[in-house]
Amino acid sequence: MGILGSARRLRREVGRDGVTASSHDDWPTLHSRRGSSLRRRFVVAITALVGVVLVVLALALGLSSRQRLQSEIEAHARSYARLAVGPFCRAYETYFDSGHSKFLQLVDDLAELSSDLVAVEIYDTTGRVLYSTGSLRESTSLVPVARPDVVSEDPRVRAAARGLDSVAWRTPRPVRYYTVMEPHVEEWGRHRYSVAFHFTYDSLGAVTQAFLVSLVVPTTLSLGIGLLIAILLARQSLSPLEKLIAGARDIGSGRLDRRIELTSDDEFEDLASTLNRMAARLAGSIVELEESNLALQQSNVELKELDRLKSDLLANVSHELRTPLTSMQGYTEAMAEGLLGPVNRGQEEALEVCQRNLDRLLTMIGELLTFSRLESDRLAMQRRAVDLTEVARSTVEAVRSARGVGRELVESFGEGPFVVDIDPERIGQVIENLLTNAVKFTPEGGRIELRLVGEAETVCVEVADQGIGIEPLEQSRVFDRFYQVESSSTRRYGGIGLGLSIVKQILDAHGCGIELESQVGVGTTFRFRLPRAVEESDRDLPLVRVLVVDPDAAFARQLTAEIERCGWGWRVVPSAQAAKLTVQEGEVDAVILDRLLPDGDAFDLVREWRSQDATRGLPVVVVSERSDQPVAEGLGAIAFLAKPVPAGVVAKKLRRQLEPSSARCILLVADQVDRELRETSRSLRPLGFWWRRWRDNDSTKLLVDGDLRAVVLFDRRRSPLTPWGSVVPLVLAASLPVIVWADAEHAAEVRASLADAGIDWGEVVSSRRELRQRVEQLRRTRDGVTVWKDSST
Amino acid sequence: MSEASILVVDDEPDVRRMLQVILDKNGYGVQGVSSGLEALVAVNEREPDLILLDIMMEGMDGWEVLKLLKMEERTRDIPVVILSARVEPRDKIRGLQEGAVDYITKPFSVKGVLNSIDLILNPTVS
Repeated sequence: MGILGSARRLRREVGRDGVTASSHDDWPTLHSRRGSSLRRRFVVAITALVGVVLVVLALALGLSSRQRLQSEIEAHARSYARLAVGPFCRAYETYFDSGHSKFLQLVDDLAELSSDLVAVEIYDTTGRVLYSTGSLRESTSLVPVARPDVVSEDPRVRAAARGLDSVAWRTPRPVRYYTVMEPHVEEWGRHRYSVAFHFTYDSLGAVTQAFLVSLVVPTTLSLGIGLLIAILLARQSLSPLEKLIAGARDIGSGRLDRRIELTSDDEFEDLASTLNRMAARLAGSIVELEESNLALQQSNVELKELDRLKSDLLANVSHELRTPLTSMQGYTEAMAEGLLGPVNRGQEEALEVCQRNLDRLLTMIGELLTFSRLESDRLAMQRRAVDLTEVARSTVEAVRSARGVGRELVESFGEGPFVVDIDPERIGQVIENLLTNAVKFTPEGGRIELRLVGEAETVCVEVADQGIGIEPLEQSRVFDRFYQVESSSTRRYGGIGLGLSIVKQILDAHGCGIELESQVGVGTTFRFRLPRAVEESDRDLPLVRVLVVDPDAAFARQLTAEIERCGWGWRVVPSAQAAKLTVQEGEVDAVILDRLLPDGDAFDLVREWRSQDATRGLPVVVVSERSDQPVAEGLGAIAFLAKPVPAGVVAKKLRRQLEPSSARCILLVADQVDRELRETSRSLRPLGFWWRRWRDNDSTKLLVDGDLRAVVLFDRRRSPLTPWGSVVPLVLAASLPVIVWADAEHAAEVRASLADAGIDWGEVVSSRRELRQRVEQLRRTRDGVTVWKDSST
Repeated sequence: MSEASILVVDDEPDVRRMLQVILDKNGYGVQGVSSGLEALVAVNEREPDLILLDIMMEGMDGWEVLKLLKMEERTRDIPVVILSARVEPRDKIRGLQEGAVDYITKPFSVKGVLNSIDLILNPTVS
């Protein structure tokens, strides 16, 4: 079934949208979105890779060349210092005091020799500054200028001035410069002066900048080329994938003849050929499935037609059989009654035999008809709560008087009551068929027992006989129609083999199975279990109950379905007598009455109700012929309907009566309507208020749009979850009078929880009397003015 | 009081004959016809006191006969008892709704039919 189901679905999709994509949700987006995203990712990845490599390379190159440049500057500085220290010192010694301008000229000339030199200082060996050039260049005024005749504070300078070695150091940021301290060693090793040369790294910055600028262009260019290559590469390597996607999409949308042509000589080609093979096999199996499906459908149709024909045939046969029996029966009876002249003893006996056999024939024809109706589902079960004891007892009586001659029929009923939810007439037939069957196969003098045993949720019914028993192999087949244990038994035991089949069908319709225990030569026991009727107090009761009085089961079903849709309860009774009793019980809010009742005129019934106080206001809808309308209206029927009644009309008429405009309604919010709640709502009806039960769909609208009179919240603390939790905000918004009903023992708790929730409105009542008082107060209130908010404070 | 006349409408000759014999023995004047059309002709000639009507007949069936009888002012009040082999409850309901006084299923008990006729023709008795 699973395979068939999926094949059918597939076929449906193929059939619906043969060539184009079957579902716009799945496939086209897969193609356009995922395909391009893959390509984009590919391109981005390659470009990013190229970019990162380039940047890293450029950085490494830049850093290393900068490093090299720096050491070059420093080497140059050191050699300059070595060469220039002598001339500086000699110029100082010779011209500083006499011919100062000559000295300055010389210093300038020497300084000119290095472009990086920014300042020169001459120290004596104690580190005292003898001479300082000051800043030699405008641009590099950053180098601190030593003042003459002052001993340097820098210990490095003092140490270098004393020593005979050339010393160099870098002064880091913010004023980056390189200092070389060169001692001037005269001939004979005399050391009186040291010279400090300060060099700038400024040329380094310019070079680096130039270098970076020269790097940007090729990097950008390379990136562009990389991007281009990446796109091309992506297109190249993804094009088979796109072909595959397009092909798979076509195949998926049902074009199973589609093949993907791909010769990329890689895994994509393998995938393509796999997809092609899959499509081919799928096409093959779909064709097969379609064929077998078609065959199945055909045979299914044929079988159904056959079944229908058979049912019709059975119905027709039973009808046709009745006609010849009519005259036989008539004559036999007339003769036996002596209508056709006197009969002697022998003739009387013969007529009796005729009569008995006619009865048997009629029973069989009745079985045939029942069976055909059961088969074609034309016999609906009319289930209701009944006492099984009564059904069983009357059936036993009937069997005992009709055929139980010479056999002991024993009732063995356990501790009752056995109130079950069944169609009593049909279950009566089940018991009768089982008893008749038992009688048929039990020899004279044997004992047949009907047992009722109470169980938790069911009542077990057993029919035990002391008959011939049934072979184990035969046991599963006894419920088949027309089946009899031996073909010879037809002759020996009579019957047409439908009895047990009818039993099974009726029990099936009740949702019950049947089992049997049997031992050849000892006896057989049939056993089935009927569901107990649910106690009314446990059920969620409808606020409104409508009584349908109609012998026509099909029509009654139409009505009850409508009533159920309104959320009301119903009960169907077939006769005037039953209707009268049900109304007397006082549980009925409205009646739909068929004019034509088997035991009386519906109008008499209405007249009777109208004459009594308790039932005077009972809403009645009469279903009858058009000509009865004036009478019905004269009797105060709220509506008159002629058959056939279009669907929905009855509900509409009743709704107008039972649920008048919202201005007269009180909304009832409760998790469960029990008997007490319904009684309460009913008792408040004479005050002129009608109740609407909270139902999620339309009550919100009613609260928001309607002009309800009040809301009553029933909090019976049945369930841990307060049933009206979600309703409270809506009620608050509607600013309606609110009454909360809570059982006395919970009242304090409910009050507290109301206070906790910050709700300062709402009266908590605990009894019907209190509620009645509140509602009466409500009646005295003018429209739109609420009293409870005031009275509660 | 002259004997009450009963029209038997049934296309089954045996049934018709049986009813004629039995009703005759019980002191009714009986006329038997075998089709709906004949029934209407017979009624037109002389209105019977009661009609026993079969439903399943060739040509015009019992439903049509009943409808035509109930449409005609003159024949509307003739009581009709349906005798039919159709046992479905909805047929019974239809029969009674369309104006039949009683609906008896075939095969019937002769006593039952006689009782019904007696009740209809002599409502004061019993």
